[in-house]
Amino acid sequence: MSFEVVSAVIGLLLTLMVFSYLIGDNPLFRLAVYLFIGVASGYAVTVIWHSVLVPRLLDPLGNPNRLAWTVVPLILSISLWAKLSPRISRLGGFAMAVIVGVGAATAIGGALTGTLIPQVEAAMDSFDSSEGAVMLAGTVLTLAYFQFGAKRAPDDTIKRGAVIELLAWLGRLFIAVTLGVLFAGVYLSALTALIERLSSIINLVKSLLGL
Amino acid sequence: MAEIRCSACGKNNPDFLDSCQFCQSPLIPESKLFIGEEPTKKDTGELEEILPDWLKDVRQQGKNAEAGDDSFRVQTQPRVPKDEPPDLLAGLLSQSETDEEEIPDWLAGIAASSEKPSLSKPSSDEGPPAFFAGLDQPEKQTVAPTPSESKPDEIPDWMRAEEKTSKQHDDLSARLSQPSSAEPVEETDWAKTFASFDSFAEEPAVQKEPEDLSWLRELEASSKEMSETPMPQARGSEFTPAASNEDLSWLNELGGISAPAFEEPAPPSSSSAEEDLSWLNELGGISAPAFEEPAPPSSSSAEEDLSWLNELGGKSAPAFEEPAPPSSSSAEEDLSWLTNLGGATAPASEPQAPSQSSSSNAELDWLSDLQEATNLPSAPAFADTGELNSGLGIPPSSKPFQTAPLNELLGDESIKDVTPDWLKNALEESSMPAPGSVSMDWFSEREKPGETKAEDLFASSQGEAVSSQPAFDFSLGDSSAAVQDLDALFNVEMPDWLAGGQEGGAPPSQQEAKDSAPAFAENALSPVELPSWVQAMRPVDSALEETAASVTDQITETQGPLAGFRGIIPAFPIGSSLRPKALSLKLQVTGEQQTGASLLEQIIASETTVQPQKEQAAVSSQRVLRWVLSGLFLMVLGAVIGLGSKTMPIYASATHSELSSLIATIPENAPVLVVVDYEPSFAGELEATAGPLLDQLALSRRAAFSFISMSPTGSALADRLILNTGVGGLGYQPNLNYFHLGFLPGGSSGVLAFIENPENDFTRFEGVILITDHAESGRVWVEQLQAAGPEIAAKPLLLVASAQAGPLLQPYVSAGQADVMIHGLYDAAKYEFVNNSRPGTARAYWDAFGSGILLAVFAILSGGVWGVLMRMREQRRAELEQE
Repeated sequence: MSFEVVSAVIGLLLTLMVFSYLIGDNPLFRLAVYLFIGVASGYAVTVIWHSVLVPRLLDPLGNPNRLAWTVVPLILSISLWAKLSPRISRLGGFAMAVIVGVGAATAIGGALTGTLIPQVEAAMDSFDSSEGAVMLAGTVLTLAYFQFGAKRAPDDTIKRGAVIELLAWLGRLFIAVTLGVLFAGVYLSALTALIERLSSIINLVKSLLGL
Repeated sequence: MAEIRCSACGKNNPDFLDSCQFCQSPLIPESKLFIGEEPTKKDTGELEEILPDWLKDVRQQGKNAEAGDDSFRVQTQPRVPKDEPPDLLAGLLSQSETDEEEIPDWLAGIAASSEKPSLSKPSSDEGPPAFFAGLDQPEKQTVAPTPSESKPDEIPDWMRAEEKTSKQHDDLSARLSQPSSAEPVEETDWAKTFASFDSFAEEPAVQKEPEDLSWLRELEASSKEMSETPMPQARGSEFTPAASNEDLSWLNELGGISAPAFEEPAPPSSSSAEEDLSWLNELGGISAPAFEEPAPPSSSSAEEDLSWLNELGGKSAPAFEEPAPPSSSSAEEDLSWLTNLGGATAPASEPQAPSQSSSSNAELDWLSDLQEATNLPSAPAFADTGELNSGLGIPPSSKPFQTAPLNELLGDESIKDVTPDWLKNALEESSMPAPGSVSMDWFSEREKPGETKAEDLFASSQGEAVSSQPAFDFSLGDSSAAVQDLDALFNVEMPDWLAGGQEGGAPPSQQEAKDSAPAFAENALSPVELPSWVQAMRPVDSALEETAASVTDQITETQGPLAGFRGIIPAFPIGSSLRPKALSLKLQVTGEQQTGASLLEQIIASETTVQPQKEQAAVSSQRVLRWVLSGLFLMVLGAVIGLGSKTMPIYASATHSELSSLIATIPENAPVLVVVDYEPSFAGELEATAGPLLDQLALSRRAAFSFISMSPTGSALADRLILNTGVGGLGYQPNLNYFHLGFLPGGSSGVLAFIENPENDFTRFEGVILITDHAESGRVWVEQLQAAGPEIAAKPLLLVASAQAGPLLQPYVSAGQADVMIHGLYDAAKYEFVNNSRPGTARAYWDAFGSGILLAVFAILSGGVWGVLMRMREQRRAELEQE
């Protein structure tokens, strides 16, 4: 039996173990989950070691030309270990600050230049057609739905204004459509995964059976 | 009736009123007492209850007597408020003055005996009645109508008997009669009462009406005259004529100082008053030596009188209790013999006995009877004083009659036996702050031996003038101080109201004023002076004046120690005006507050109310439903996949055509960066979705793929992607036709660093294919590519996303930041249809995918219909239950 068949059989068993969740939480499901997490973690560590630490940290140490560029990241990386001990956790503060600071700055810069400004321009451009009006209506009505300001009615009932109530009702339709689309995408993704798994199982079975 | 002018309103008011009847202002300014001032008379009748029993009895007798004969009392006894010190026996005065029945028997007998001579004696009707008038006259009238010599026959037998009995107390009298030891500490007002007896000795000469008791009035007149009598020249410097001194002057005579005057050989023309005084001196004290020593016949009969009278004084009470002599059966007879006893009228009216050198037993017999007949509480006083003087060895002529040695007598038990209790109490030092003790100092000085001796000498030389001088003359020394001291003394020892009844020694002017007081006439408890210590306790006027303006309309006290004050006791309950107003305890609640309170009550009630739990469907039904649905999907999808059905049509779209055109623009063998950023669970979907794109690039452009992933599993997924998309079948070899750039750590920073890292030479990539299952990963790459610069941003960016991430990345595609996006199996199948159905994976899943969508739609619809049916069923059941 080839490696591919063994891997396919293992894959089949693990798939059935995950499907066993249909009858409730069971050890087979937990075994499959733990195995997947363990294999994924081991694989991730291996990848990090081979893809990050060795080529970007250890290998430059042997190269005197890149040693200066490696010492600073090495010290900062080692200082992060200090976070494990409360007494010396201050030592990792600088490295953590660098990470958070650099990440925040990158995210903000990318959001401004890659999302906010381009999306504002795209939204303005969308008004050339009816798409922009729908987008605007959908945005306003959705925001109107989250307007919870209300006044006391003569019958001591608390209600929002009639206009806000109408806009909120329309905004609720937009929200429902959006959530429906998202749910449908999740369902389609899951359905596709299920189909792929079923197809894989069926193909394996067919290959095993020689059909 | 005298009137007092009110200082406030100027109107006249009767003098018996304390406050003005018009304006209620106090009429007597003396009510304001300050330190050092003399107290004023106040009505202290309420203090009568605390009097000793014997005083109450005496006062009650006095009241009865006054009630019985008011008219007589008014006529004979003018009552004038006086400022004299109170007298313990003041109440006895009325008894002796107003009612004959109240007069002690022994005194009545004396009065009767003295009255007889008065009848035979020529005297004017207008003159002082009876013999009392003559008591004071010898001092101021040198000419007396009575013979100067007193005959032994004049001495009654009972007095002679007293002489005998007095001899038994010679020793005691000798001690008590010592001038050096004579301290008139017990100079009390009871002795004043004997002033009347002193007057008895002088009055008989002028007494005319036998039963007329107006002699009491004469007694007052005589007292007044005494105050006007010029003092002897020898004593002029010492004696200050004052009413108070004169009031007490009879004490001197009673005490015995005047005795030597009678003992002096007096001329025959001397007044009988001297002789009267002699007998009274003996009555007051020293008499024994007179009886012991045989007096020469030529000597004045006063000596003999003194002797027997001393015996009388020294005789104990039983001597007075003896029955009166037969001749004194009536009051007239008593007064007559008493007149004779005084020596004033007896010589003129009755044949006097020859000179008596010694006492006779026959004379004492009647005196014994007198003792049996009389029983007066005051009798022992005479007995004591008589004893005091009886034992002196000094000749009677040089012995002053004194009652001062009473203090010494207290040390002698034999004397104590004969001393009445009331007198003992009077002798005893008071427990109160005793100003009287201070007041006695002058008295002690008065009784110094040297002075006494000088007085004796003076008395021997002055004769009758000296004899008229009272032995206890309060005018000696500082008379005003003496009066004050006495005032303080008696204010302490007894209530002042008792002094109201005393009139014997009061000045006539004051007596008249007192007589005009109707209140006193109507009530036995006359307004008297408050003791100084009581008045000191009264609120001072300075404190009252501060609030006078505010209390003018308040109640004025009319009784008690606060009489005359206004506003002391509040008319209304204290604090009534300051009492806070009653406030309602009911809260003032608005409607909104009530609504809030009711809402709060409802919330609290709902917390405690048991909410009925909704009946839930059995878990088995849901599990079955899940099993049913799961089985349905597995069977349908499995059947579709297993059968390899490709019946469901696929339609191409314009978008997918544009994607094919875009891929055609990529140069051949151009490196294309493929970002594998999805989880292994989405590998089946994304492999099917990205398959047609990679197949077209690899087949048509032979692009060199560089796989990079932000997930550690990206490399494995990349290998699986090459394998499962059919690219591997096109001869692509790792590190030749495709490359694994590995894991890209750091998120957006790592992406930015990867893009900007010159070693990577990001610009060499002709296109970027982003395969992701979540919008976050696509956003990061889109943003960082935009941030890397226009050159990199201009490179074609192809998005391959899962069905769930496609809608979230659609804005970037719509905004032009991404060129084309293929998301889900639906787009993959269409694009595969455009790509000539290569690799065919999407198509293989298409029927199953379609079936799964139909099953989902069916399940949703079925669930919706089930829900509607169940609600309709519940409503129908509810309607049936309502019906």
